[in-house]
Amino acid sequence: MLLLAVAVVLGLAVGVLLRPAPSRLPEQVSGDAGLAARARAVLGEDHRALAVAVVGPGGTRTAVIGAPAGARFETGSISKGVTGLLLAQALERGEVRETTRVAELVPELAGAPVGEVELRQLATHTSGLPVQPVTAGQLGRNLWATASGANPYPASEAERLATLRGTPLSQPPGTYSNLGFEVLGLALARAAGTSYPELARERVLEPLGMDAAGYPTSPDELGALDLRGESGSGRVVQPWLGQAMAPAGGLRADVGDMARLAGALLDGSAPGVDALEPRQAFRGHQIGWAWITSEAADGSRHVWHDGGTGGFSSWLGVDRDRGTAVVVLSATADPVDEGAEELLRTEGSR
Amino acid sequence: MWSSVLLLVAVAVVGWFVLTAWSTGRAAARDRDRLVAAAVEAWLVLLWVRAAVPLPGVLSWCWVGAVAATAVGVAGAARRWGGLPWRAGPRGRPDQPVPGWRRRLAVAGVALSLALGVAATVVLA
Repeated sequence: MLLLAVAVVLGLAVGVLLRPAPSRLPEQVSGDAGLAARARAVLGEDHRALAVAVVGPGGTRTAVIGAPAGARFETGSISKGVTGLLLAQALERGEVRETTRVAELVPELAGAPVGEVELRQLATHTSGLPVQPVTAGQLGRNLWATASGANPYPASEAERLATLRGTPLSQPPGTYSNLGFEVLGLALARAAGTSYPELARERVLEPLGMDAAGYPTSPDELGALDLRGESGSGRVVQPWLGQAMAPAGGLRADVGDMARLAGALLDGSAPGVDALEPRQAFRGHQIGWAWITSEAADGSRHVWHDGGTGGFSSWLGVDRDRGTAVVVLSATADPVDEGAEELLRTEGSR
Repeated sequence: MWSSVLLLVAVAVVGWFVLTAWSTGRAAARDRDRLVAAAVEAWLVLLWVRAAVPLPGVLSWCWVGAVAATAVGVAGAARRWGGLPWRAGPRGRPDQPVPGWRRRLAVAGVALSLALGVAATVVLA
């Protein structure tokens, strides 16, 4: 009986110690205390760190909870939105056409199925490419990432090109594709004669004053302000870094930078803002060059993109009718979309 | 869908281990080799569920309960340990002598299972 009691107590102790649950937000706040309190109420306490920005007629308010004001978060697929802005700019500059085929810009892919894909298809998830490489190697990396918290997307550009040559266009239109945006970013960089991170820096980050933002591709490029994120079960995971993934999910930024991006999308001053214009149906919404337009229950239209990596979750949305934009960055991987949308609805009427 | 399946598998594996550790009937573990393997399997599946399946709110406390259940199984295994051979004979003839090489294989199997459990803990926890 004593043995049983000891076992139960020890088992519960180990279980509680390892209980799969995200961290709770600490009290540490920088920025707007009122916004921080509102973010806690709407988005909950289950985050390792949380940053929120609201851009509206009254100006820009930001709050960071559980991290320094300049802490950089992984923004995940919001990076695709930046790639969409780059496509719109390349079209304006005449560097590419909507119908330019991938192989015209990336000759290594001539003769491969993906070489025949048009840029507009990549930007609207209608290329037929899968969400990610369908290879035994990628499956193994995904499993290892699940088991150990490792980065599943460390591929270099050359490695990705080799994989892409054998990738069929077998997915139905509307299949969300990280791979598609990796190809799009690479193609746009080739059209401009530079690398993707440099292209994004020149044409989006610098013009908008997003001075801290960037596309680190190796751990050496991370600094003290680069947060480590955690999975939904509270395990600290490795940062997602990789040359190939940069156009689809490699952007790291602090909340001030993301507020500047959101503000420029809201007032139409962002370079390549035409990317937000809806071009076709996408899973019950409309999609432009990466940016999704949704109609809310109250009839308002939100243009948005979300993001998720192994340790982060993010959302950026603008409501031009109300003149409001919201950014949410979390250092925990559980999605923040629902709370962020609520913030956009409610903060717009404040 | 797959996460529900994984949760059901976890419940089944942990339940089976507790049963084999405490039962005195047909489900009872007949040797140390299989008892340790069942314990490690239960621990592995718990760690894998923790790493791979979202367990919001009350589900995370269910996971804690499953760890406690596994500990109860370990207590049962400890209670029976002294009375079990490293490797039992065939079912129906448990007292039939087991060749020495099979006993040594069983000891090695137990050591391997424990090493696997430790390695999995380091990676998954």
